[in-house]
Amino acid sequence: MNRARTVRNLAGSLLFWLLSLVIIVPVVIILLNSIKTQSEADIMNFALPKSAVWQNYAVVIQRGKIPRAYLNSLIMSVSSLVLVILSSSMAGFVVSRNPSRLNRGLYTFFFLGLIAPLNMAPVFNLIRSLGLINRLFGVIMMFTALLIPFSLFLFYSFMTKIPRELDEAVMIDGGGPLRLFWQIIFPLLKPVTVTLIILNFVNTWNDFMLPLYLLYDSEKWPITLTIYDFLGRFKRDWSLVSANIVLTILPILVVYGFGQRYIIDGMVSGSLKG
Amino acid sequence: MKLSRYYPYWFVVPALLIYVLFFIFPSVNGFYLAFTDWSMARDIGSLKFVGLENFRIILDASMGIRSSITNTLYIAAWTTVLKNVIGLALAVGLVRKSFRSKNMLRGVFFLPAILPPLIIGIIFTSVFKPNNGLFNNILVWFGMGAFTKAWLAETAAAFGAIIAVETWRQAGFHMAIYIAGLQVIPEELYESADIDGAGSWQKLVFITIPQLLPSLTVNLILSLISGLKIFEIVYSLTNSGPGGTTAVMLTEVFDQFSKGRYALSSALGVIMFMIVAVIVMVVYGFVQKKAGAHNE
Repeated sequence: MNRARTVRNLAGSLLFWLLSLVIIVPVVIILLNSIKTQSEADIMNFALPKSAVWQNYAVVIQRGKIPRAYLNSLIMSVSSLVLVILSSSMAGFVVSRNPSRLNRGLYTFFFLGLIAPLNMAPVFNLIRSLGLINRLFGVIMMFTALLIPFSLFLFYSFMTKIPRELDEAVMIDGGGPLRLFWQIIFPLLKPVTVTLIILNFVNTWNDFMLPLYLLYDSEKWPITLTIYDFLGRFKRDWSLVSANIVLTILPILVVYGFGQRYIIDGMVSGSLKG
Repeated sequence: MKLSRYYPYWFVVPALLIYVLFFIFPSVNGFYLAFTDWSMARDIGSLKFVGLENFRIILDASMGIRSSITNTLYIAAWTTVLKNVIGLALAVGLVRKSFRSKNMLRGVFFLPAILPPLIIGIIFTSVFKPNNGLFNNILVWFGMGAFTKAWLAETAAAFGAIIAVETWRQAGFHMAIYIAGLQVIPEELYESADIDGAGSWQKLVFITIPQLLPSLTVNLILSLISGLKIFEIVYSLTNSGPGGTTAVMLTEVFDQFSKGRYALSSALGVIMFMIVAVIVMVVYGFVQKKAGAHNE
C-alpha cells in the first residue's frame, strides 16, 4: 500500500517535470542560440554551439544601442515607481482609515481603472496636447496612472492589518497626519511596498504598447522596443535576435530569481482582492 | 473625533489628479472622439460631429474591421477555457503536500507570466517556423512528419498558434490563483467526506469546486479580460497575418491609428470598453447568483 503510493507520487512528479519542459525548452534554446553562429542558430535544437560566439552580444549592444535603451527603461520604470508608491500609499491610507461616503465612492472610482481597457488614440491626443509626445515623461505619467489602482488596493488592504491604536498614540502626542503617516505608518508598509516595487518594475519594464504609441524616436526607446529594430535589420538572424532577447529579459529573470515569492504572492493576492 | 483631521482628504489628491488626468480623461474623451471625423488630415481643433459613421464602418463586414472583433471573442473564449482547465489541473497536481519539488515547479510554470508578451511572441515565431522550427522538428522526431506545416502561414493553424502561445503565457498565473484557493479549503471537509465514504470524484464535485468558486470567478474574469486585450502576442507572432485574417481588436486599433484614422481607432476602443464592461458584469452577476443559490 505504502509502496504503491510512493510509486504513484513519483510518477506524478515525473509527469509534472515532463510538462515543465514545455516552458523550459524554448527558453533554454534562446539562451543557447544567443551564443551560436547565425547558421547554427537557424536550426532550433539543443546542440551545443561548436564554440561560444560571445561576439553576438557585442554586436547587439553596439548596433542596438542597448546601453541607451537600458537607461531609458530604467528612467521610466524607476520614476513611475516612485510616483506610484508615494501617491497610492497616501491615498490608500486615508481611504482605508476614514470610511466616509466620499472615500467609499473614491474606492469604487479607482476600481474602474483595474478593468477598463485604455483607449490609445485619445491617450495620444492628451499626451500630444500636453506637449509630452516623444518624451519619456509622458510615458512615465501614463505608467503611473495605470499602476495607481492596483497599488492603491494592495496598500488599502494591508493597512487594515495595522492597529489603529498606533494612530491614536501619535495623535495624543500631538503629531499631525504627515508625521503619523511618514514616520509611523509608511515604515510598517514595507512588505507590501517591496511587493509593489517588484511587480510594478516588471510591468513597466515589459510594457510595449505605451512606448509604441508615444515615443517615435528610437533614441527614446526602452529595451523592449530595440528588438524590433533588430528583426527588421537582420531579417531574423536568430543568433542576434536571441542575444537581444536575453539582454531584454535578463533584469526580469534576476528580479524573479530573488523575488519569486513576492511576485507570485503579490500577483495572486492583488487579483484576489481586486 | 473628526476623522478627516487625522486622515485628511488632500492625501488622496495626488493619486486622484494623476488618475483622472491620464486615465479617466482620455477614456471619457474617447467616447466623444469616436463620434467625430478626427484624423491625421483633420486638426483636433476643428472636428465635425459625424454621428455613428465610425461605428457603421467598423460593423460593416465589407470594410474588413469587423472580423477583428469576432476574432478577439474567439481567441478570448478558447484561451479562457484552456488557461482555466490547465491552470486548475496544474494547481491540483502541485498542491499535494507529498510533492517535494512542487515549489520549484510552480516557479517554472509561473515564469512566462512575467516575461514581456512581445518577446514571447517573437520566441514562438522561431518555434513555429516552417523550416527547422522547433515544433515541426518535434513532430518529425515523434514520427508525425506528415503533420508538419507552416503554422503561421495558414489561418486556422495561425489561430491555433496564437491560442496556444497565449495559454502558455498565462496558465501558470491562473495556476497560482487556484493554488491559493485550494490552500484555504478546510481539511475537515475532506475528512468528514472520507468518514461518509465519499469517493474522490464526489469530493471534487461537492467540496473542491464549490469551495473554489471565488478563485474561479477571479480567474474567469481575469482570463477573459486578458484574452480580449490580447495585443503583443498577435502583433509579434502573426502580425495579424496571413493576409490580416488573425487581426484582433487591439492590433486593429493600432493599425487604424497608424493610418491616421484616429476617430475610427477611438471608436474601436469604445467598442472594446463596452465588451469588457458587459462581460465583467455578466460573469460577475452569474457567479453571484450561483453562489447565492448555493447558500440557500
